[in-house]
Order: sequence, then structure tokens, then C-alpha cells
Amino acid sequence: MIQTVRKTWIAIALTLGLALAGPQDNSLVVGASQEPRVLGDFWNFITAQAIASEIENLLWAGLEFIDQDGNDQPLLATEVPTVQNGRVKVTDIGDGKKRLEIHYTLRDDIYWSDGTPITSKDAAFWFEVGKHPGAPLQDPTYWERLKEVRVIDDKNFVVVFEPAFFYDLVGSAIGLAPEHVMREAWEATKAEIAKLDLKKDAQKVTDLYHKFISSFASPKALNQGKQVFSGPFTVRRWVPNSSLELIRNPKFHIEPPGGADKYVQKVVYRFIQDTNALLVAILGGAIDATSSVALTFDQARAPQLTRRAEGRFDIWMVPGVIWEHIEVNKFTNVQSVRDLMLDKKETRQALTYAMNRQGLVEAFFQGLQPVADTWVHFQDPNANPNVRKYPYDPEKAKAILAELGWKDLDGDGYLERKTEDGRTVKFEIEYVTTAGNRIRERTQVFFQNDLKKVGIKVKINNAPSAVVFSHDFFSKAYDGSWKGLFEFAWLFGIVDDASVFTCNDLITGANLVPTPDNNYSGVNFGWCNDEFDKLRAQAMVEFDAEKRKQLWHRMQEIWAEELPAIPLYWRSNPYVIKKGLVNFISSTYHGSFGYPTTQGWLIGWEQNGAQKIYDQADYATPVR
Amino acid sequence: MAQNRIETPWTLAWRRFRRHRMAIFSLGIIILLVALALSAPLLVRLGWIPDPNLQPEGPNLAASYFLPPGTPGHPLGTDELGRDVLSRLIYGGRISLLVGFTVALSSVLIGTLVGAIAGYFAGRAFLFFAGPASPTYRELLGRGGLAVVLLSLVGLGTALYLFYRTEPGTALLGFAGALLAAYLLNRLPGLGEKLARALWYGFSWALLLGFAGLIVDVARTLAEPGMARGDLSPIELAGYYLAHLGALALLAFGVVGRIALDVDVVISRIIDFMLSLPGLPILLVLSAFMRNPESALGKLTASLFGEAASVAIIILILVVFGWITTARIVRGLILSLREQEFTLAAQALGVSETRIVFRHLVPNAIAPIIVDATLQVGLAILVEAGLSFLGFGIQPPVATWGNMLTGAQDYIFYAPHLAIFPGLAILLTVLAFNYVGDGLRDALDPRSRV
Amino acid sequence: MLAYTLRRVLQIVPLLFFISLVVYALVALQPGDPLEALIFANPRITQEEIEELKKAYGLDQPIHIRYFKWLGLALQGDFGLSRTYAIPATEFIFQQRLPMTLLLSGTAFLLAVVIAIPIGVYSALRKYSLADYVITFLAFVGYSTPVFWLGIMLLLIFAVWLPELLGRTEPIFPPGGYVTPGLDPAEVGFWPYLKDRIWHLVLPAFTLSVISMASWTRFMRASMLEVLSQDYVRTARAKGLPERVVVYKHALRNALIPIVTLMGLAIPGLFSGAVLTETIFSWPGMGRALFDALVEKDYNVAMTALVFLALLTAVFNLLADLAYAVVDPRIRYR
Repeated sequence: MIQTVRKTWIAIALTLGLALAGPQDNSLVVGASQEPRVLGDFWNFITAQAIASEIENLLWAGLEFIDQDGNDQPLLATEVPTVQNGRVKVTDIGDGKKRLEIHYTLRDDIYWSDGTPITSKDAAFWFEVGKHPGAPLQDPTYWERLKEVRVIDDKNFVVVFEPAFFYDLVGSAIGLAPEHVMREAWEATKAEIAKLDLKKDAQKVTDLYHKFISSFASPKALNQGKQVFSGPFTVRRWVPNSSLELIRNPKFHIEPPGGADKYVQKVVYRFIQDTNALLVAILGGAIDATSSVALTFDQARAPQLTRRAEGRFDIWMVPGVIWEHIEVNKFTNVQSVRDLMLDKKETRQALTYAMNRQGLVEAFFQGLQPVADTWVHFQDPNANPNVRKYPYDPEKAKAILAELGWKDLDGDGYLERKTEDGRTVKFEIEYVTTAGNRIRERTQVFFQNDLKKVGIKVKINNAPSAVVFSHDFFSKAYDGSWKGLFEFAWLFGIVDDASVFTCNDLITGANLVPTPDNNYSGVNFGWCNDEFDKLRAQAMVEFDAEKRKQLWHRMQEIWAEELPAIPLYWRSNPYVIKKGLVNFISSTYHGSFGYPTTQGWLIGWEQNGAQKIYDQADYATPVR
Repeated sequence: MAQNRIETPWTLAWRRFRRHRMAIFSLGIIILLVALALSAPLLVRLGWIPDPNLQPEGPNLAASYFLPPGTPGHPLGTDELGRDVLSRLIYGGRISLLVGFTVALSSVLIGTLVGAIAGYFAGRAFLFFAGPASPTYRELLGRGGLAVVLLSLVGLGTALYLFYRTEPGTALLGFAGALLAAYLLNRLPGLGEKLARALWYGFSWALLLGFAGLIVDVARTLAEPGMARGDLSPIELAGYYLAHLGALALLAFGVVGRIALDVDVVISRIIDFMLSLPGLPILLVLSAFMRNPESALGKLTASLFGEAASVAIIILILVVFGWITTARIVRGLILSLREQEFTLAAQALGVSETRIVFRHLVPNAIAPIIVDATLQVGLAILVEAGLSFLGFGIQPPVATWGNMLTGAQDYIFYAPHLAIFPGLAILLTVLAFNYVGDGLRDALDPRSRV
Repeated sequence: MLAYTLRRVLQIVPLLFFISLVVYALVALQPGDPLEALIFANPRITQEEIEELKKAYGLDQPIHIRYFKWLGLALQGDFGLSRTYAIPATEFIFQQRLPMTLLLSGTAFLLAVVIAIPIGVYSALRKYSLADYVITFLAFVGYSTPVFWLGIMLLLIFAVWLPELLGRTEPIFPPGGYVTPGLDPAEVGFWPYLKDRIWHLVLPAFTLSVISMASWTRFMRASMLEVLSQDYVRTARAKGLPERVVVYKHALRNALIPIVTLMGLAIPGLFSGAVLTETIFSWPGMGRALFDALVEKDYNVAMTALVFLALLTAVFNLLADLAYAVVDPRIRYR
């Protein structure tokens, strides 16, 4: 009995051995904890998932990509359009608005995986589908501003934005979709849509768009070879809930140094939902590298992993673009905001001084997730390193609070003050976050202790994320749905436009402070700074990077002085990478959000002759 | 009346129970658990265990997280926030036992009540609806006059307001309120009963009106896109008019008609309905729905119970499903008991029906009810733990055995003790209740002899 | 009997209608809606734009209208598209998830039957022996154990402790999933592939089967004891029939009847999957699909699954009642 069992194990180990060849057969096995629903939803009609974007980087090439240092590089285009090279034309259209015409030229040597040349038609097709009435767009303003894709000839076209913003020049301005493959299905979809009333049958129209996408992008469609590819890899097989196998695309135009055969020929994504199981798979050697959506921060530091990593793996922490912070309710019509004077910058400064943020990241993250000073990431080319900082200083916090009139009147260890209308109020502040998020709950209690030391009582009021992020709770701070502090995270990519902290958008005229007047639109919870708004309006239409940087610097100074929110730290993404694997690198802005697959054609094994071009150590901190 | 030498059934049962050694042992464990749970705040004050939500302070915080069992001061170690596991376990036990006992008690009470009503009144219809021109209502009018009309209008108005001006949660609460009001009125001497009926009929008119309105509304909205285009298919058109006709017919019937319902049939259908619902998924849906802070129900629980709102919600939804088993058992028993001689005798003597049901019939069904209650405690604890584990149950910072396990799986590599102890606590408690239930079943079974 | 059956079958129709109504209301009235996540993907989005999208997903209409629209389409067999997968909800549930669930719960069911019946019989035949006490105790433990905790413990033992003890990096049993990702039967051959699948099935199937195993063992024991005390068994013994024949031919057959009914009632549960077990072992089945659909507000998927489950439960309740009537002549139906 025992004999047969052991034999079974050996057989399984052998089969696993075959599957985990790695360098031997020049393949790469990536472990991910999420699985894309569809691949190739070029318009994001269905969803926008990080794991899908990461894999799509390997399958479809864009006009440009954002490199490991955050700079634009051409990919399908011959060069990155700039004002200097004459490809970008800026026109003033009054009211502080600008019109942007971007001239792209496609390379001559680019083909879809079926051999059809990639042409301007593919750009025009992409534009046509997204612009078609009734499309369920998740970013309607972008499509509103994208006015035209004017085809000049097979390889040249002009993209027009109006009103244009600086970020239209960051990364590819538009996408591409294989017109020769998708046209027929699109015409049929269009005909179906034409039969419907866009207003009354909106849902049916949406369903038609979804069906159109899934007929190319679902696992079934991809396995049947319904789609073509323009990136360094193509789909070979997708087994839902298990794995996705990609093989090298011979039609891809970039030849990595030393020849493509020296680099990875096959990429297998293994989808292991449970991150513990994923960790076990890594320990067992079945995984060569982890995806950007894989282990949790804590798991990557698990002694079981670090102990066994020696000589086998490198574990990296890459600073990400997710900004953990505490939002402060600053609406003075809320009683407790008035009582606690949360609308005063001094109060917010005192709170920040009283919170030991450095201590927090040391205690919980071994310092691997850096403290944030403003909302702009320190790796952002526009970051201003000389803004006002708030090191842990409870004495200073106490001094500021005393100056504001806070004093422990009843001797209970917490501060009180007499308000203008003669009431005595205690400094008891509500602190909301998503229940069940262990790190946030830890943070919360950590700060509860810190604030207690300066005489501030924290009342924790957590609820599941579906509840705290529901419109009626999240956006209605004006009505006091949440009254004090609210910890959550924003994702600020390289195209961030500071809209989170804008009060009046001077370009569109919109008010971004959620009040009944604007139907609770926007996410700026009551901070209005005219200078900040003006600088932002200038920066938005400043297409000269150097000049924009000046404006952005000043905005950060104002922000750090006023502290509309309390910045905590930047989350880091863990990556576990087998020794010898090169150019599978992540950095803060690689491919906009740090995807290690951004320059997929360069990924390879050193043992097989792949050249190491980038060093992960330049962009991340190793975990010991 | 009972003479000293004759044993009451209870002492007899107790003697039988004592012979079930596991049950006695389990009873001891339960008493110990209850004592621990009750004395938890005292233990904290005495300094024997730390506060369950107390987190370490000081410069080297990371060193106080995930301490293994056996660490001085933390016999069962600390969790991912450096809190004492033993203390949290004891406090979690408070919640688990609270949930278990409350759910079992309420379900059994409700189940017994519903089951007894269904069983006793089976075959006797209750006048659910009587139109304003129906003979029944005219008869009522003849005796009460203006007060009856006024009260009916009050019922009608309230109900219409509830349907059209509020969202479902409030409407449900209002509906329950109206039932209660009718019941209380009924208890008043003199005109009470009549007024209660008047109020109820007014309410039932609104139900009918609302139903007719709903039919028309649905038909209109569904037909709208087609009508706007002007190409309604014949079937759609027919449906559209049919719906209107139907609504009209319903209204016409509503003026003169009356509807009588057999309570037993209604309750049995409800039980069938509940039994056909897929259990756990529905509990998940229900839990999220009730916690919705936008609904009146969510607001009410949140304002009443504050941080412990999720505890109240869990108890509530477990009761929603918990009463069914008891109701079925009791209904079956009462159906047979009411045919027996002693019931007939009581009826012949003119004893009131409430008294017959609760003084004569229910006490005769008490044995299975007690067993059922004991088993329900264990079940409620298990289900609560499962829901909390999935994040749909009791929310942190309130510690329960279930939500202590939620995060434990994430840390299973370096802190397995976080997963082991809460689970063991659940196992031990539920096991104890099941054994006691088993012991009680044997002890209360009239067929078993000492 | 026929009239009774017909009436019961007809009753399923309004029952399903009410269930779908209530379930739809509960699902649709969940806090938050699928579009609120958009704010986080794109803080620039305005409330007006969100309203526009709500229209695109049909979320702007009052709930009863949405329900009847859904009902109208569902009656024609159209259960809508999954919002997150953009494929028909029925395809997602019945083709992708249901087979996985049936595999898991079917295995667990068989496991429970195969273990519970012999052990129950054995326990009854050796009444009050040490073995009987041990079995009884284990059965009590079995149905007092929280399933999810049992799963976690098994994971702990087989994926963490034992490998560490044996100095292996490979877990004894895999900690999740239904197959080693990337394992291709075309490459490794059929048998190793099958072994891998079975290897993945062991822990979840065992976890899922424990409760039914425990309770069926108890029922089997009780039923067997009941039958053994009946007159006809005594008669059979008195006739001098060998004990083996008495027990297995006469007693066991009759003792199995109530157990079979009980098992029949457990069948709908096979389809509903096991949210907890599937969650712990990352098993891509119905329970998990339903849970995810609720979390992600994929209403069409949630409704399809819930209504299907309700239908199954109603049908099997009916079948169990009918089976009872056939088996037990004391029961009469009007």
C-alpha cells in the first residue's frame, strides 16, 4: 500500500518536473492570484483588471509604452510625438482650453500575428467602435475629448483632443484593434444596435457590446484562434481556473540582442486564487516569477519564504502607485467638523505630527513601504522633495492643539474646549476604514494609541468596503455620513491630474467638492484653495514638461502646508523572481502601473544567453 | 396537588439525564463556558487576562505580533495585532454563546407560537380582506359607525404612505407595526375588537390597491419602449390591456368581495417556501442586505446597537431561518393533540382558545421543543462562525470565534495557533450542546425507562 | 396519489415565482451597486456619467420593473449576460461551474455513503461496545466541527506541518485548486493527469463529506437498531436463519429505507456547492461563483444560480415526500 502511494507521488513529481522546466526549455512560469475574465477588451467595455493589463502587455503592443524610468518610448510608432519633433500641434481655443493634434507614424515592419500589416485603419477602427453611440464607456470624459482620428495614409494618422490635457501626451494617445478581424462582427453588432432605441434599450445595447467583445476575448474565443496579436507573444491555450499558455510571436518586430531564440519562448500563467497555495507552489519551485497580482505584502516576508529563498529566489519590494492616506472631513456644516476645527489646517497638522508614520512603517513593514509626504509619488518626475514634512513630534502636536484652545478640562486624559456657542466638546474623532482589511485595522489601532498620547480620543467606525465605498456613505461627507477621518487608498498613475484635490476645475467649470449642489460629484471633501486650483488649471494645459514641473512643485508645497488629507505611505508590490531570470522587471511606473511584462520581448534566462539589460535592484528594495 | 412520593416528570427526566455521562460532562463544560463568558470583564479587571482589544505599545511593535502560545503573559500567544488570543477567545465566547442562546430561544419561541397557531387553527379560515361594500364590512359599520370608518381610513392612509413614499425596509417595519397596533386594539375591552378589524380592513384595502397599481405600473413600464417606437407586437398589446383589465377587475372585486385565508395553509406555504431557499447563499444575501446603512432597517440596528449592530443582525437572520424546524415539529404535535379528549373537554368547558393552546397543548409538546432548542444553540454557533468567517457575519472589532478565523488562513505559515484555538473552541462548545441535546432526547423520551 | 402528485407539481410554479421575487429583491437591494467601484478606477468620473452608465446597465429603473423584465426574459430562457465575464450566465453556471461542483460534492457524497453505512451498521451490531462508543464520539465530533476550520486544519497538516516534518518542499496534498496549473493531459498522459486531479480532490472532498458522514452514521445506527428490535427480525432469528442472513437480508434492507430518503434530500445540496469548502480550497465551483457574484454584484449570475438551486430543492423535497409515501404505506395523501 505504502509502496504504491509512494510510486504515485514519484509519478506526480515527475510530471511536475516536466511542467516546471523553466530555463531548460526556455519557458517562464508566472504565478498569479487572479485570472483575467477576458483578454483583449481594447475599449474596457467589460472590466479593467490589473492582471488583464499585465498579460495584455505581452499580447498586444501599443503605439508607445512607458519605460522603467517613467519615460515614453515608441513601440508600434516610429517615434514619440512631441512639440519639439513637430508631431504635436497645440492650438489655443480660448477659455484657457487647448486643442491638441498628435501625428503618429506607424512603423513599416509591424504585423498582426496572422501576417496582416498593422495600419492606420486599425487605429480608425478602434476610434469608430469606442465613439459609437451607446458604448458602455468607463471613462466617458476621455472619449468626449477625443474628437477625431484622421487617417492620412496607411501608416500616418492624426489624433485630435479638445480640450486637451497634458496627460494626453503620456503613453499611447489611443489604442488599436485589428480591423480586418473584428470588422465583420462589428458591422453585425452595429446593425443590431441600430434596431434598438439607445435610450430605452440601453441595457440591451450594452449586452450587444459585451457580446461583441467576448466573441473575441473570452477564453473560448481565444482558444479557437478568433483573435490576432501584435505583441511579443500569442495565446496558445487558456484553461480557465488553471493556466494560460503564451508562445512567442514570430511576427513581432523587435529582435532582442543576440536573437529571439535566446529569450523565453513560452510564458505560462498559473492562476492560483489562494495566495497560500501560491506560496506553497513557489516554495516547491513550480513558479519562476510572480505576477503583479500575486502574494500579499506579508506573505512575501514570511520566514518560510525568505529562509528558503537564499540562492534560489530574489524577493523584491517595488514601491507602487497606491497611496494609503487618511481623508479628513472638512465640511464646516457638519457639527463635529466645526467642533474639532477639522477645516483648519493647524488641526490637520497637529494630527499629522501626532501620528508616528515612520514608526508605523518600521513596525509593520520593516520600512519597505515608504512614508508619503504628499500625493505625488517620490519616483514621479514631477515630485518636489523639498515640501514641508511632518516627522513624529507629539510635543509639537500638543503645542498646536493648546494654541487652538484645547485643554484637558475634566482630567480624563482627553482634550476638551469651549465652543463659541458655549458648549464643551471633547476631542473625539471618528476614524472609518474598511472592516476586514487587517493592515488598515492595525494602522488604525496604532494611530489610536498615538493620538491618545496627545489627548485625542479615536472612535473606530468600520464597515465592509461595499458599505463604506457606497455612494451614500463615501460621497456624502457633506451630510456627515462620515465625520472625521477615513482611511483608504487612491491609485495615482503617472497621468495623475490632481483632480482628487481640486475644488473648482477652472477648465471645465465643474465643481469637484461633493455637495447637494453638484449631486455629490467629485471626491474633494471640502478643501478649496484658489492658488492650487489656478496652478492646476495652468499645468493641465502646459505641454512643456519643464514648465509643468514648476507648477506641480508649487502645488505640492501648498498641499504639504495645508494638508487636505493625511498622507500615510506608498504601498509596495512584492515580486519573487527565480535567479537567472532577467528583464522581468517592475518599477513604479513601468507600463504605467509597474507591470513587469511591459518589455516582454526582453524576458529571458541568463543561462540561455539572454542579456541582462535592466537591473531590478535599481528600482526596488530586496527583502532579506 | 403532587404528592411527595410521586416523582414529577421533571425529576424523572433528570434522573434519566444523569445516567448519560457524556451529557453530564458536556453540561459541566457549558456551565464553565457560560461562567467564563459572564466573568470575562471581571477577569480583565482583576488583571488575569488582558483586554481583548488591547494592543502593545512601545518602540518595537513588530516583536509583539504573532507571539507563539506559551509566551509569558500570553498563554495562547498573540495575534496579528499583538492582542492576547486567550482573552479574545473568552470574549469571542461571550458573543458566540449570546448568539447561540438568543437565536435558539427566539427561534423556539417564534416557532412554537407559529406552529401552535398553524396546528390549532388548521381548517378554520381567517378573514383577510373585506371590501368597503362587502356584507362583512357593512355589518361592522352598523355597529361602530364613524370610528370604524375613520380607523379604516387611517389604516388605508398609513399603508399607502408606506408603499409609495418609503423603501422596502421601512415598509416592512411599518407593516409589522400595523399588525401590532391591530393586535393591541384587539385586546382593548368593548369596541376594541371591532376597531382592530376596522384598522386591518383599511390596511388590506391598501394592499389590494397597491397590488392593482403595481400591475398597471409594471405593464406600462414594460410596454413603454415598444409604444414609444410604435411597434408593439399584438401579444404585448394584448398583455398591456389585459393587465389594465385585470387591475380593474381586481378593484371591482375589492369593493364588494372578501378573502378568507386558512392560517395553516399560509404558514405551511411559507415554511415550504423557506425550505426551498438555498440556505447559506441566502444568509449571505440577507446579511449584506440588512447591514445596508441606507435602509431604515440598517439605520435602526446601527442606532440601537452601535458597534454590536452586526451581532443583532446575525441573531435576527438566524432566527429568520431558525423558527422553521420548531414550527414544523410543534404544528405536527398540536394537530394530533387538538383531536384528543382533553382538548375537546376544555373546549366544551368554554376555556378560551389562547388558554387551550398555551396551557394545555403546548406543555404537552415541550419535550421535543427543549431538545430542538439545545441543538439549535450549537447550530447557531456554527452558522454564525461560518458567516463571520466569510466576512458576512459579525464585524471587527467585536471578537467572535468565526471572525478570529477569517484572517488566520493568511498567517497559517507563521502563526498556525491563530487558526487552531478559535476552531477548537467552536468544536468544543458545539459538541457539548449536541451531547446535552442527545442526553435530553433520551431523558425526555417517554418511551425510555429508568 | 396521482392527484396529490399533480397538485404538488403545480404548487412548485407559484413557489418558484415567489422565491425568484424575494431573491431578486434581496440581491438587488444589496448595499452599493456594481458601478461604485468606477470612482476608484477613475476619480474624475462625475455623478452624471455614473448615472449614464447605470442606464447602460439597466440599474436606473425601479426594482419591480427590473424584476419583471428579468422574469420576462428568463421565461424565454434568457438569463442574461454575466456582467463580469460577458458570457451568458447560464453558460457560466452550467458549463463552467456546475460540473466542478458536481465532481467535488459527488465525490464527497459517495465518500460519505461508503463510509457511513458500514460503520453505522457495525456500530449498531456492536451496540455499547468500545468501538460503538468511539464511533459515536467521532460522529458527534464530526457534526460539531466547523467545516471551514476543518479545511484549514487539513491544509495546515498536509501542506505545512507534514512536509516540514518530512523535510520536503512539496505539500503532501495540494493546498488548493482542482489541477496543477498548466498540467496538460496531452503532454503528461492520461493517468498522471487523472492522478493529479484525484490528488487535488482528496482534501476538499473529505472536508465536505465529514458532516454528512457523521450524521448518516448516526442515522444508520439508529435505523438499524430500530429494525433489529422489530418482530419480523425476531421471527427470522427464531426460524433459525443464520445471523448473516438476518442482518444483511432482512434487517439492513429495511433499515436503509429512511437513510435513502435522507440522502435524497441531500442531493440539492450537491448542486449548491459548498461556499466554505470551495473558498478554502480555491475550488472553482458553484458556491464560490455565487459568493463572488454577490460580492461583485453580478446579478444575472447570482439569480440564475439561486433560482436553479431553489427549483432543485423544491423538486427533491417533492420527490422525497413521494418516495416516503411509496415506501411507507402508513402515510396517506389527500
